[in-house]
Amino acid sequence: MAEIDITQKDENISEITISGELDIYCVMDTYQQLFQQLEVKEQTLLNFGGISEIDTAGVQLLIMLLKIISDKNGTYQVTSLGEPLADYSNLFQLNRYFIDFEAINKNASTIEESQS
Amino acid sequence: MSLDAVLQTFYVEAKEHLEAMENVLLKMDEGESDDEMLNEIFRSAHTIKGSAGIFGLDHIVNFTHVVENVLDRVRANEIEIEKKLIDVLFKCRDHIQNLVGANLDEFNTQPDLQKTDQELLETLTPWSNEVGEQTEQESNLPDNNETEIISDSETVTAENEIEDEEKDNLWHISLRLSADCLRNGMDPLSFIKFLTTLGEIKHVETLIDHFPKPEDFDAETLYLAYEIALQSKASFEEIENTFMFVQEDSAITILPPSATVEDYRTLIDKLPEDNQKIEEVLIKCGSLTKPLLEQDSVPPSNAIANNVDVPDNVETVETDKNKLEQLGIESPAVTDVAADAELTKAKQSKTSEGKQIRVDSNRLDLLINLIGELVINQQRIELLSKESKNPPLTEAVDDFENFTNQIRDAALSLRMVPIGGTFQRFKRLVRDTAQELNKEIELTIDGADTELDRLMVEKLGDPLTHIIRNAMDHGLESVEERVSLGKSTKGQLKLAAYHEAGHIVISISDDGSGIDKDRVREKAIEKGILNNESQLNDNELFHLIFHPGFSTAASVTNLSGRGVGMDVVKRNVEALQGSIDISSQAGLGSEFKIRLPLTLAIIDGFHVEAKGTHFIIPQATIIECINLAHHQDIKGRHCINLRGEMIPFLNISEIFNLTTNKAPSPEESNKTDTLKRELVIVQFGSDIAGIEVGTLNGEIQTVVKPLGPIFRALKGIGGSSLLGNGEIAFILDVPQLIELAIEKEASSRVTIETNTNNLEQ
Amino acid sequence: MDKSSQFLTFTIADEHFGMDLHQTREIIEYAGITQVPLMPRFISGVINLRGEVVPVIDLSVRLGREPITIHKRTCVIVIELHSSEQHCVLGLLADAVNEVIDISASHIEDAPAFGAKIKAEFIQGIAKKDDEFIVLLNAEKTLSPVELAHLVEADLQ
Repeated sequence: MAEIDITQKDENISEITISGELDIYCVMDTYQQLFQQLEVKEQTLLNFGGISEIDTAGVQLLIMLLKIISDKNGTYQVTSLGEPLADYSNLFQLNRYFIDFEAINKNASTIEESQS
Repeated sequence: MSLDAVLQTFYVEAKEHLEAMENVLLKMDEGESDDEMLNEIFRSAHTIKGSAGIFGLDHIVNFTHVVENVLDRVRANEIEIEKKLIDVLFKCRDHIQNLVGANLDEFNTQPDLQKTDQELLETLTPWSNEVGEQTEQESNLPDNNETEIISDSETVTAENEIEDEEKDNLWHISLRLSADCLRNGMDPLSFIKFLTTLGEIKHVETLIDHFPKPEDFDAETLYLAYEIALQSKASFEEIENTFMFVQEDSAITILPPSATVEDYRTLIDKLPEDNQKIEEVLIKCGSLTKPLLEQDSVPPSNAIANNVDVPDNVETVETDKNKLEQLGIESPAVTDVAADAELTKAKQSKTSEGKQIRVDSNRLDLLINLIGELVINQQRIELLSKESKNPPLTEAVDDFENFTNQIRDAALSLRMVPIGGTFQRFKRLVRDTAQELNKEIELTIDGADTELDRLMVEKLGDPLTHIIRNAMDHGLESVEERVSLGKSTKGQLKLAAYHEAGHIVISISDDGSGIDKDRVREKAIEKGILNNESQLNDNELFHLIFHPGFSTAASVTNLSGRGVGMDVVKRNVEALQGSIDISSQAGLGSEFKIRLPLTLAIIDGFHVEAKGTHFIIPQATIIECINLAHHQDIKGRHCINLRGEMIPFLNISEIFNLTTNKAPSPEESNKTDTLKRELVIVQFGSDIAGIEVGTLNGEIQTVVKPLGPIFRALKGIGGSSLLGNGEIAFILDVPQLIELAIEKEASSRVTIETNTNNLEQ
Repeated sequence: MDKSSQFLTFTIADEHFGMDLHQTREIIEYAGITQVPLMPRFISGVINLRGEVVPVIDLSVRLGREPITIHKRTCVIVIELHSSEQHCVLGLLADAVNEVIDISASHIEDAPAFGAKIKAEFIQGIAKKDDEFIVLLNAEKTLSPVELAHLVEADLQ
């Protein structure tokens, strides 16, 4: 069962920490909990470092979270991915959703350079 | 489709592949061997491993992987097929079957299975380890493909082919999986992981366009969509099989390297997302290059255009059918040469298999049940239309009946399967048993294409096994005996199936010693089954071997001869509304003939009534109906003289203790019963008998409704059926009914006999 | 925590019985029954339940009483049992169906080890409502298809 912790860093910044197992067995409850407590600030720090296990349902939930934040004109920064999520993200090439766009663009261009 | 159902599909598939493996092994055992066979067995092992991987059934993956490697080496002519290897492979196949039967937890908690696992892996080492190749059992992730390349590396031409085909192997896979996918325990993660075993994933694009509003988000529903570029030398089938468990409600498009621009256009149009967006995604995947799609307007973008010759206009592209792979991004090949070898063959077989679809048998059963209801309803309508005396209506109803019958026949034929598959399985049994008994036995199969109801096929396995074992154990002699008798060394066992007068006959015959009549008689008397004075004809005598607890084997072997089994045979066959005939000649052999109805679901019957209870007699058993009033009973016994032949008959009301006053509907009276005495003459096997009933109500087509487990012990009634008016009728099981009558009569005769004995003393 | 379960209560010859609501499927009017030849008395027969042929049990006989008397208000309680082997649909004859009641676990007494008119193993417990005793039946035991089949077999021999 995943644990959610939402703390207010200051007026404009909140931090969401999700840890534990985030999979199909608990996404329902987790999302409900998350959706109820969520109050999108100007900036949200996301710490996924404590996620010990994740499957597609879990990843989907996180993407929904990112979408909610950006739909409400908030910005987010993922402070930690944690190994399971990082693995998943690499396999599905999802990093651009989790890591900021600048970085992934830079990476992409260097690859192209090295190829040509 | 729930996970259970999906797993079920896996089991069915695995079972089929295991059967295929067994068949190949049997052929190898007979000394046959060709590339086709080797490819087939390899492919089976490969597929089992792959599917097991999707479900995380690592115990199956790990073991099968090693077997697959050995098979691959056989295929590459690195090792020779020898008797010893075939024996081991037989055992491995059986072990895989056991592994498939056990889930991961069971495997981990069953030391026996693990022990066999270890032992077999060790036995396999001489064949698997020679080149010092590292068998990576732990995972089947991409790097594993190397092992397969090594094994095929000696063929130089193959390597050349790789280079030629590099461009040919960029596949595009578009996944819009069922929304219930996650809920049913299927995680796209496992598909992606499996795809990595088939090749290299060049790009995955996860689309998040389908997310609902936050308040509508159902965390267990899959909203993600995928576009995947896969570089692989796998066959279409192999890639397609990755998704075989999620095909339902999913939109899966697999574009092979040979796909044309047109194919991609179709895909783009078909996908629910915005066309332009999809184009971009496909370009990102590398499956498509921008110029092709935009050639009539915008010049190619430099960043993506490779050194590809872009045609000037669309028409050229279409007429030339330029293949898209030419536009694919070239990259070093990580390929599975071994798997590719049968690419062509897989494609060939695809064409024939393409006409087959796999349907959940439960759905088929449901369809047949519904059609049963349709038949009943049609009968009700027919009844009403006749009463209405409205000719156009009656005519329309007649047409309706015609179509209903056609639908029924068509639906029933869906459930018909050839008996061949069942027969085939006995090859292995015969091989192993012959080895065990130290006999030489050759099994021949005839009429493998004969079709019968799948439900029956399933239930025939046991009885056939018993009869075949019995024939091998008691019937067929040892080599020495056969030689001394002047017979050929190899005992002949024959399985045949054919149609005969609305029935299917399955015959099991051998050229062994035959059934020893005297011995059967002796034994039956010894066991108290038979009375010393009883006079029996051959068939009756032979039937004694079906008596529980009967066995003629002089020595008890571990195969048969314990007297269990043959009584089960009879019971099973009777449960299928069938019968068994035995013929046997001393020294020449025996034949068991199992006679079965064509189908169990719907039968043509004859509707009769006795004391207010409705019965249906299966039409196939009926010879004729006569009015008893015109015939005379022979001296108080239930016997009539029909055209010079003595026919025993039974009274259904007596046999079932039917009394009218028990009948719940009071308006039913017994006025007809006492006046009219109708006799239905039935035949079963060689027996002819009459069944006395109250009224004859005519032919009826009827759906068999099993009576359920509670009534299992009830003899003479095989099932129930609903009549057009909603009333329930009982379907008579004629052979059981006759047996019941004989038993009743026998018990009364015994009392008479004992009485006369007393008098004599 | 005091767990309560729902029971369907019904009457046979002035005696009140309860059956776990989850095991009951529907209640239908008694509209005749087709007797099955040679069956012991506890099997009343079979009925056509929308195309399904369902055996009907005379619970009264099964519990060792006189057969139920059929009258205008007789009804059939259709129950569904899920045993390990298969699920099984059965009908039960009752004089009247009363109500669905909640009975908390603490209000259910164990079946008396002796003195009861019904075999103890058939009873899940005894509950009391408005000064009347309700015998809560153990349907798995009382109506186990396997057990019933054995009884039929024994009776036929």
